[in-house]
Amino acid sequence: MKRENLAGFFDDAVESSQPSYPKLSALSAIEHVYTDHELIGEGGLKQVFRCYDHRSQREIAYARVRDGLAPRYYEQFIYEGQLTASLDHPNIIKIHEIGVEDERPYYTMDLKKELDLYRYIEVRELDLKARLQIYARVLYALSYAHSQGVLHLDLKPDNILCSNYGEVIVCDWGSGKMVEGEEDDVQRELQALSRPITLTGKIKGTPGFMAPEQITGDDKDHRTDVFSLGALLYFLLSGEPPFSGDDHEQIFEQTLSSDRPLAYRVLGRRKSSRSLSLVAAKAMALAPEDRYQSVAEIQQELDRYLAGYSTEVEQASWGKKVYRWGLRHPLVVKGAAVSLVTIFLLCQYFFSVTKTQQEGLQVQSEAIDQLETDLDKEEKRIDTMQKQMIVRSALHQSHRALQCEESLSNKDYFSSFARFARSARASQKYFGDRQDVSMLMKSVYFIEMNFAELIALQERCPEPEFPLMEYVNQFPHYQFDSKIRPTVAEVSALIEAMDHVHEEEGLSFLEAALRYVISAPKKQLGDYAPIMIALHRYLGCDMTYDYDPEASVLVGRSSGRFGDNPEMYNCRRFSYANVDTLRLEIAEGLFRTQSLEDATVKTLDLSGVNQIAFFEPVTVHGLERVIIASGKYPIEEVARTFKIPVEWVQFRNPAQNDTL
Amino acid sequence: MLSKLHTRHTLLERARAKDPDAWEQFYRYYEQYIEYLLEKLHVGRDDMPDLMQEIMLGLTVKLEQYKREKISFRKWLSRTVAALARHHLKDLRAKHRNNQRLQWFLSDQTEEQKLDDYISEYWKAYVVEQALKRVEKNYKGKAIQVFRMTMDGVKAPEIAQQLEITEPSVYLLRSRVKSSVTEEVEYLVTQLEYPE
Repeated sequence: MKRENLAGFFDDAVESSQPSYPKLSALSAIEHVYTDHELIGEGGLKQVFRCYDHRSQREIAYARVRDGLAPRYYEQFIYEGQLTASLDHPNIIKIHEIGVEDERPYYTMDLKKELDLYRYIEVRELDLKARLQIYARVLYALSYAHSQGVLHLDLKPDNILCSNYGEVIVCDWGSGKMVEGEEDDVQRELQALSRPITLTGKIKGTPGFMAPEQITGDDKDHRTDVFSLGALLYFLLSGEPPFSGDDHEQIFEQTLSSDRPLAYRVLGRRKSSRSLSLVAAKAMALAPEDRYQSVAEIQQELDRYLAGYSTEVEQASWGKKVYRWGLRHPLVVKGAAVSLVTIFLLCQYFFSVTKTQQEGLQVQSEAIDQLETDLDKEEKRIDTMQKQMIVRSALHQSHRALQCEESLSNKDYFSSFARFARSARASQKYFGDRQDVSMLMKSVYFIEMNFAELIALQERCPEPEFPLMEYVNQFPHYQFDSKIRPTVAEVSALIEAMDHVHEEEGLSFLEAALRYVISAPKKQLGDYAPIMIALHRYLGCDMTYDYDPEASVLVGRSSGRFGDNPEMYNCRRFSYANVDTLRLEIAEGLFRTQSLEDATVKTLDLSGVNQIAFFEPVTVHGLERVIIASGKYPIEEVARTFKIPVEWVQFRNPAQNDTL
Repeated sequence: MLSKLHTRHTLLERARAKDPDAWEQFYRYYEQYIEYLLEKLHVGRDDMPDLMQEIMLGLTVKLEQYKREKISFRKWLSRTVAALARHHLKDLRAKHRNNQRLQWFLSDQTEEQKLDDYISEYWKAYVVEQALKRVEKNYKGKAIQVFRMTMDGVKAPEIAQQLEITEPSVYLLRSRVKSSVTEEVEYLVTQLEYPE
């Protein structure tokens, strides 16, 4: 890069940056931060001005030690500023900066455009509730200050500023002190200076808010502020300071003698509150130990009052408490009144109509008799209908429950049924022998092949009858459960006893029972071929079987046209097979691979099946080999349907059948 | 102990206030500048370390004596660096008989103003290069290349052709890098110089 170009760039960059911070340069150039001072207030120690702050560009309040005071008062002034600055509360005036100007300390604070409490109440004509809301804020401020170990010691309406927007600010913490801090001579002198008397000897500001110990010079603590808060409450309740007189001596005398009427007497009970007047009186007790011991206690009293309860100090009678309760619950009181009137009017009405009614009664009772007879009949009819509906819905429910399980594997079926049985038993325990529940239990007993219990239950609850009872009654000694399972012979015996194919309901129970048999976790039965054979015979299926249990070879032959039975029976037809080799010979009709779902077979020989429909993939457990008639079906499709590698699929000529 | 808030905040001021971290950083910046200058004067590699050390030593002593009111900092800096460099380079005059730039730099006939300008130009170029180094990592692609070529005096259409981008892209990339570098230059100036 060329040097002169870079240097040119530098000049541009630096030059361009020069005039771009006018605010910064203006701020840096300010020499006199505070100007246009205008005196707005004066105390024993300080003067407060309204002035313009050139840095923040707004008007603020500027306090400094009054003219003519010796530098030894500066310490107290700075202490006052720092004390106030240490308080951070929305209801306490905020100090912005404390500094020294022209060798005199000053501090700046919020300039409040609000009115002091005196003027505010006068101008706004506040009602009691609004005045108490202001008082609540003052309590918060003082409570906070006390928690920080700071006392105000000069609380009076002049030092409380209020705005139309709900702002309440406690200011002038000049007489305040830290609780731990020792009072030195200067402070005591200042206390004298800030007494409510001007140099001309007239009463300044608002006398009558000082605690007795402030007049006598005794020890002051937070209860001194409690006194002033009591006086402030008195003022808010009555509109007058608690102590007043022509000169300060008189006021001090009154304060020390605690001589004043209760606050509510000034404005009357309607505009004031007796209850709170007592609170003010307690707070202004002569001896600190007789007052409220903390600001929080006054807050509690005020809260109680505002919530419509009696204050503690009031010790209200029961009558008064009930009256206050009524005030708190105007709706209840109004409601009760309306109810009483209504009840009275209704009684009157009934007495007048009873007579007329008695005459019509005779005619009516006859009509009612007739109606009752009709109703009886109708009820019986409904009862029958209801029973029928219950049976149908119970059957439907159990049937659905079991059908849902069809997609499950054997192992899952066993546990699913166990769940179903558990919930049925729980229902029975809870509802007793209700029809719908007993129907569920009957199906559970049947599926478990617990015929003894089923028969007992059927006797107890004859309605509705379980579909397969005629066969159940033939085997009353069958009493199996989830642990003790029937043998293959016992199951076969049951199926063999069935002489005709039953309706859908009966059949699905039988299917469920059989699935339950073969899904038992302990394979104590092992070989279910006889069950399958019996089932197929029962279903009228045109299969004949050759079964060699030793070699575990099952050969099924279809003599007629396969698959003419209803389709639902065709499915799952071989799921009971648990043999090493299953060979099927079906010359006519369509064989669906789904009928092998869930079967347990090592070698599946379908070479003798003329027509196979491959649909969805099926699960045949333990399958190692599938033999298919050569040249008929694509090897991939066979492998995909049985979810096995293509190498496991073999082809064989139908002519070779004999070799098996 | 003074809190961080109240200490002077520019690198130069903190370095003068003996803040060790600031000093090290500040020293590195100026040292690199001296190195940059000496390279431009084609002083041989062998002589560089000793020269740099001597000049930096002199510069740090002088920096402590700098009084703001008398003369602008940049002018003061170029004058001081020129004087220090001439003083310490004198011995090399015979050795670098053929180095015309160095001969001109050391010649007694050379006008002081021209020397000032010469050094000052190097300072400015150095600051811009440092600024560019600081922003480089924020840009991907051809933006920095566009800026460098601009600083080499290559015109926009030619840059577009050479970098195989459109001319509006050249303007866009250039203005982006330019504003970042400008910001960094401003920053470095506030850190390394006294305000004018």
